[in-house]
Amino acid sequence: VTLPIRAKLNTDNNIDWSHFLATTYPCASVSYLPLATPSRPSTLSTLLTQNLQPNHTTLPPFSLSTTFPLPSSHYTAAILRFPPALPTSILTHLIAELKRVLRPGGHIELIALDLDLSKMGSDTRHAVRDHKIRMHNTDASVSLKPASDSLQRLLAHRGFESMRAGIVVVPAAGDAVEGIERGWLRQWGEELERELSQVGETFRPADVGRWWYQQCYEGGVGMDGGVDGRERSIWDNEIVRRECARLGTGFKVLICHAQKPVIIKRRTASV
Amino acid sequence: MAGYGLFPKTSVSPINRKVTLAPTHDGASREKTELVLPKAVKARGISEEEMKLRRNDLALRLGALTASTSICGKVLFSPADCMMQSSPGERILVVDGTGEGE
Repeated sequence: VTLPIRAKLNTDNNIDWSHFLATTYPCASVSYLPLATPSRPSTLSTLLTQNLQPNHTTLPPFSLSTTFPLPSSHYTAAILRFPPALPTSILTHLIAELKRVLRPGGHIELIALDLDLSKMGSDTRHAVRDHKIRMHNTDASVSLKPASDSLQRLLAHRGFESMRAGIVVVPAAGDAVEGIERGWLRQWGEELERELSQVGETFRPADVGRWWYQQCYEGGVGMDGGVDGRERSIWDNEIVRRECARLGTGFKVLICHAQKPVIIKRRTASV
Repeated sequence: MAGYGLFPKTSVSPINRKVTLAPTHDGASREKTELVLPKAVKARGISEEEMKLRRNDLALRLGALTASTSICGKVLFSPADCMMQSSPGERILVVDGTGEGE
């Protein structure tokens, strides 16, 4: 079995998902909206260098709590990837806006990481709990509920149809694919390793998982691996990492897609 | 950008490069055209370590998307895959929390 990896990983432009889509689907036009939270504001200078593909557009970041300056029923597909920890009201608004810009029958795809991990040991559980307390102290409005549940519930509440969802576990620690006792990586890891080795890279799923976690949940509370005098990441704790590797602890990644209804339900009854 | 007037057009254009592939069974030579971006795209202030992470990230996302089909016992697919079968000129909006921010 071969993974349908269509990406040319050796091209410089493929490091972001939006650029990957623009390269893979040259007929489609891809608009990229960076999710700029107060802790991670996007800068214009960064954005200026990103629009190098004719079918790729980087939109300037705008407030997530207001109406997006995008036309209604405009996009065929909307893809929300790894939303950071947000208040429930903002997340609700985000899904509502994504539905608005989707044309009837358009698809939404979600990929999100849960704050809690699967198969946590006591040290990891304590570290995550302390992190939740820190998040709550920084911003009490931020939702600490599992993103996978919240997003699926929001999609259903917003009237999306044909929803399909699954959870994929990505290891939290451990360097080699052989060390993963169970899960999809044992089946697919060799293929991914081969793809990456062709471009001279080593396959490091745990590093990527921890990077996703840091992007989603640690940036907002000033934890950035100890850079610039900030607090260290929970993944800098060697005890936690050893425990995760020993127990096979993993990040829970929700992969989900749904479809905007072709016929919108009327809000009023015709008489 | 071009459509919305939100962003200026860039003057840098991608380059099409021809790549020679392995010959077919009957010995005929094969070529494909690959889109290559100018080196300017590298000037984004990303460290080499982060570049490596992002390449891994891309592979892992693709792998997870594909593997979820088998492990969940459900048919999962990317909307973008649906679009491959539809007409050109479709539009995709990507909202990415792991995209570049500084």
